[in-house]
Amino acid sequence: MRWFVEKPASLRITRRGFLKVFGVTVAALAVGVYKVTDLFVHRNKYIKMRQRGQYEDDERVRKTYRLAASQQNPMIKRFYDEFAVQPFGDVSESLLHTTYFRRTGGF
Amino acid sequence: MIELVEKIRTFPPGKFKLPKLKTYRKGEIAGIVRVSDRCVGCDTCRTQCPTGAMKGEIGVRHEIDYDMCINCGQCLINCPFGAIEQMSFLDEVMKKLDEGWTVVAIVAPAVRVAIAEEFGKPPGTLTVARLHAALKKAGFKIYENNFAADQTIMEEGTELIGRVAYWELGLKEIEFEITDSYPITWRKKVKLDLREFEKKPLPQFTSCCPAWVRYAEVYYPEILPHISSCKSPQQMAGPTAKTYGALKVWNVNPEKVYTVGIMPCTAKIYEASRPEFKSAWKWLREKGIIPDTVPPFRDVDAVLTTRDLAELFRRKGINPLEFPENEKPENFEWYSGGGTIFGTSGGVMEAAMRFAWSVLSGREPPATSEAWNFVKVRGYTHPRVHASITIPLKSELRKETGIDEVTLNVCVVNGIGFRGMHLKPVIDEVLSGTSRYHFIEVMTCPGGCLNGGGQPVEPMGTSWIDPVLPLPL
Repeated sequence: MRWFVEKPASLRITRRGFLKVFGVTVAALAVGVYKVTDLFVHRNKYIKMRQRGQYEDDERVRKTYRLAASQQNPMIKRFYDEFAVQPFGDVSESLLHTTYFRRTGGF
Repeated sequence: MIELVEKIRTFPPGKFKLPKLKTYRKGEIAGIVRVSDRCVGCDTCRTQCPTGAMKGEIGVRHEIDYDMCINCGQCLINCPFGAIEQMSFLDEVMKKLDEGWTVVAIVAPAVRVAIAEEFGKPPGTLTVARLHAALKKAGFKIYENNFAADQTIMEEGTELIGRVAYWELGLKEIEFEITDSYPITWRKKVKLDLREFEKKPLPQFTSCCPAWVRYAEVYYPEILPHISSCKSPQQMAGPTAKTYGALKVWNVNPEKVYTVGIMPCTAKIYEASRPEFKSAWKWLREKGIIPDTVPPFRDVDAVLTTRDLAELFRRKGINPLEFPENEKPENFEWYSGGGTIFGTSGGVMEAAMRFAWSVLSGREPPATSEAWNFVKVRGYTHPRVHASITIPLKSELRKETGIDEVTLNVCVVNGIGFRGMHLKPVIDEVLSGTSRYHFIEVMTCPGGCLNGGGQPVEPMGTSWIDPVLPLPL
């Protein structure tokens, strides 16, 4: 019967030890490489681009229709004149206001 | 750079078994996002979750604790592998469009800066008239959520003035005029009995973000009196469309109006299902417009995300970018600059400041004037922004209150942050009574609604990883 004899090199570093060191090294490299890409990839760039679009719309509406603030909206004027009477009026209280609910999550 | 927008998988409502939940009431929709078995356990979502509802360790398939989850969908849009799926009401809406209902699209502000991404244009491409034309072609009537945002500001701004008048100035009632001089002079007298504001302490929090409202309800119920009693724009749009819209604008049967929120948000799906939001039905019954036998119907019947809307257009063979970008708004298509910036962090605050500043000081500069820009409240990419805004009072109010000017201290929380990191210090201050703020805006998603859980997923984020892998993990 032949027995498996461990080679001298693996006496210093075991199979498990090697896997551990190798794994950690690869993980560190992967995280590092990912972090380096942060230098040239702006991951929140799309948020900034969309924000720019939103303020562009603000400018467009102000320039084309002269509407900067909510009370200038012609439909708002119509809504309160024809229907809701005034903010915090009876119609507003029943259609536009609400109450909140205590949820027993126990956190 | 990979230019393709990641396609998120969806599932129809009601096909997904959930354990018994404690933080939902009967009828509320839970489980709007779910982790599919394609999850590889990379742990990215856990670091994006504002509440710690995402459970799991590296290498293990993650799971959502739905009692803790506030449905914001940040896990979904940040998943590098597209492994998180969303509940979709698309089939139901398509059916209603074919059945001859008056289907009303409530289009959120952040949809117009992102929908073009699904059709190959860069983020931030403004799509307004084109989007309206495409929606009309698909069979919708338009109710701009930006118009509802203007309604919100009228109510929420008035509430802020009321709270400040009661708590800071000690008044028992206040009367003021909201005026505008273009194209003809318009005056609206507002008379507030301030005794009801005894139960509405300062500071006032915004209520537009449904995920934030749920966060407060689950984690900080003591803060609830501070949250504005105004509904969110979506929930103002629903009942207005079914009452005023149906009866006085479109002249249709209110029972046959089907309202669809088109939102950048997954939490809006949950918000629309809250049981108290049947106010149009209640109002119509009280006024005797519909008979008592009509079963209760919701204010907002269904919610589609921006991604769902793009899918609807694709199924109908419509490309919104092919329409011309000009129109004359009519009815509920009118909106102000204050209404459209609701989609970005700091926008609600700026719109409220434009309203309060103009109403209290009586000034009305030209619409393009810099005076309307309150740049210091804009959130951009800062997690928290605070500012003090001094408003000189107009002469009638000076006489009524006996002071010359008011200073409003405001704060904008741009994303609740990992485990509430950005929000918690602000709430702790309010609860301990040391807060110096009058008005606080909270947005659950970093950057505001335009980075919400229902938006197109951009490969500039972390989602580029999956397409570059040679083999699926």
